[in-house]
Amino acid sequence: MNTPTHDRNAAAFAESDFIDLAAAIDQVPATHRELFLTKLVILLAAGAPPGTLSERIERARKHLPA
Amino acid sequence: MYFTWQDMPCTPPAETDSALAEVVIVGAGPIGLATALGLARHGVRTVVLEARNTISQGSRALAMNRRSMQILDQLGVGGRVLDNALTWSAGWTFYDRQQVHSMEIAPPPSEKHGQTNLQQCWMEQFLLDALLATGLSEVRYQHRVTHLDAEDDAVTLAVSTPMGDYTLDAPWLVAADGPRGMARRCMGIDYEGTSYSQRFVINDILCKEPLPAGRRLFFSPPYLPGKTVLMHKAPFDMWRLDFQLMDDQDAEVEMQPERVHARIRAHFELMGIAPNYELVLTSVYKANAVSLPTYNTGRVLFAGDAAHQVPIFGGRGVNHGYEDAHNLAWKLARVVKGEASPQLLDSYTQERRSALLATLAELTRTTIFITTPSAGLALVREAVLSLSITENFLGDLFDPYATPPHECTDSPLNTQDAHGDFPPACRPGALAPDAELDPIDERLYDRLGPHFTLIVFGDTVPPVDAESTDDPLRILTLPVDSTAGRLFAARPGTCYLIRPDNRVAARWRHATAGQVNAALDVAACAQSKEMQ
Repeated sequence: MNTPTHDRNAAAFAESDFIDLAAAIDQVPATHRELFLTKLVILLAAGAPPGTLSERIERARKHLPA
Repeated sequence: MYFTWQDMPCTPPAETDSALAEVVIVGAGPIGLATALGLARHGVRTVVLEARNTISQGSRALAMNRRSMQILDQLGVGGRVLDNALTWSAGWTFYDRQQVHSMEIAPPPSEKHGQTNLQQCWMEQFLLDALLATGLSEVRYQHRVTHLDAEDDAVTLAVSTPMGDYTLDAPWLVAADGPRGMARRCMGIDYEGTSYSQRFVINDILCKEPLPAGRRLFFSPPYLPGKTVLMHKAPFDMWRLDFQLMDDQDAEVEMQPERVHARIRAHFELMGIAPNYELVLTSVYKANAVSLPTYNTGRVLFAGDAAHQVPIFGGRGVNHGYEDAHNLAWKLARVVKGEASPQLLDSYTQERRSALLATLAELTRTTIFITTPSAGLALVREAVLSLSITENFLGDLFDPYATPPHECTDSPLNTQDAHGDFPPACRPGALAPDAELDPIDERLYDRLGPHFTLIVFGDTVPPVDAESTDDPLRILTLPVDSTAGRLFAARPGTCYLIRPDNRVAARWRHATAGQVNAALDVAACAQSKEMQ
């Protein structure tokens, strides 16, 4: 079994956020999920330092299925 | 009707006299006429050829900014325009049924003008009247240019009229004949840039509803989900309504009266207004953000829509045209009169194309927000707009009216600052600010004529011999402790050299006569710099 070598200093994704996000997605009708997630990103990006969104987009893009 | 169109008589070809024309201008739209009027201010005779038999139909180029109004003042028509125009400074943005943003674009307190709306037909009429009054121009309606041959020293035009055809030799040609102009096509020059597929049906309607003037932008109204509607008030109880078409809609079908009226009635219902209106005109528009690679080729110069096409969403199209005319007139006049090398005209392309490309870059963002040409853009716009019902996200997004005038800071006509303590405002290449000249009831721009002006703050005028060069230089002394002094960051002895088109050419804390004359040579002739 492989041992993950994660950066222990990286910002953590809290367990409570995991639960909250999953619950929110479940509560939004499937036809509105794309719009809901876009709004969520806009709200997060609006308060973030400049460049944060483009950096996160690149990170997220790397984790898309091949 | 808000304007009476008259048939313009056709001048018989036999009565034409090309020997009188130092410059031939193709197109009697606002930019062709403004260019002719600008040349007349310098004593240059023109012949203007226009294929139409009347002044333009429809509201067309409606919205003028304060820079255009300054230019029109200097051309002598600003007063008539203001007497008939509608000024405005507010805008409102709606999403679905709710207002999500408002804008206020009042001009700076020192400026005379703000946003001004007047139908293009009136603009053409006022410019035509002023041009004919100069006695230096002949405007020939029903004279269609069918071909041109551009040689090194002249341009030969083939002209067709209802009374016969003729040829006309032009020492210089200004093509202000619009995006489908014959001059551009004959010379085989193509536009570069982006054309958007989204289309808008444009309607002029007469309606006496007393709504405040301003630009209203409706995103995703209930009767046109996902699309955009623009509404703009014009003088003479006219409203302009632009409806974006759905992607699968046929423009020809959507221009049929029953479709047009159905959209207008749906829009009036959304606004809670009784549909009491008269439909005047319907046309189709598609946004183009394109420019020619050069605006001067040998003896041919391009201006207005013949040189570039700008999306209408920021009210810039005709405004760039007026700036073309104002930039070009003094330079071409100097070249025609033998006072400057034709290389001066290279700076026309350099300055105007640079300004145009800056606008296109900005309006591209506005245009894609309004037209959403991709699924991703449509999704993010929908998210932003719906969030904006309660969150102020639109304030920083795509407000094309907030942009200050372009500064030609890289113009070869500039002399760079010799003193490092000037602020960025009013730097070489920027437009001189206007100001009231206290305590006299006069404005700075009233004192800037079609010549170079040396503004001197304080009493110490450099010993410049104003008549010693080919460029009679007007000297204007202003107090340091004044509105103008503050706007120009002046101290006693500060000097600004202002070009005939109101741009700063050079500035000094203390100038010598040699420095002023050298800067004048650079700005007026441009023969000692990189254009050689």
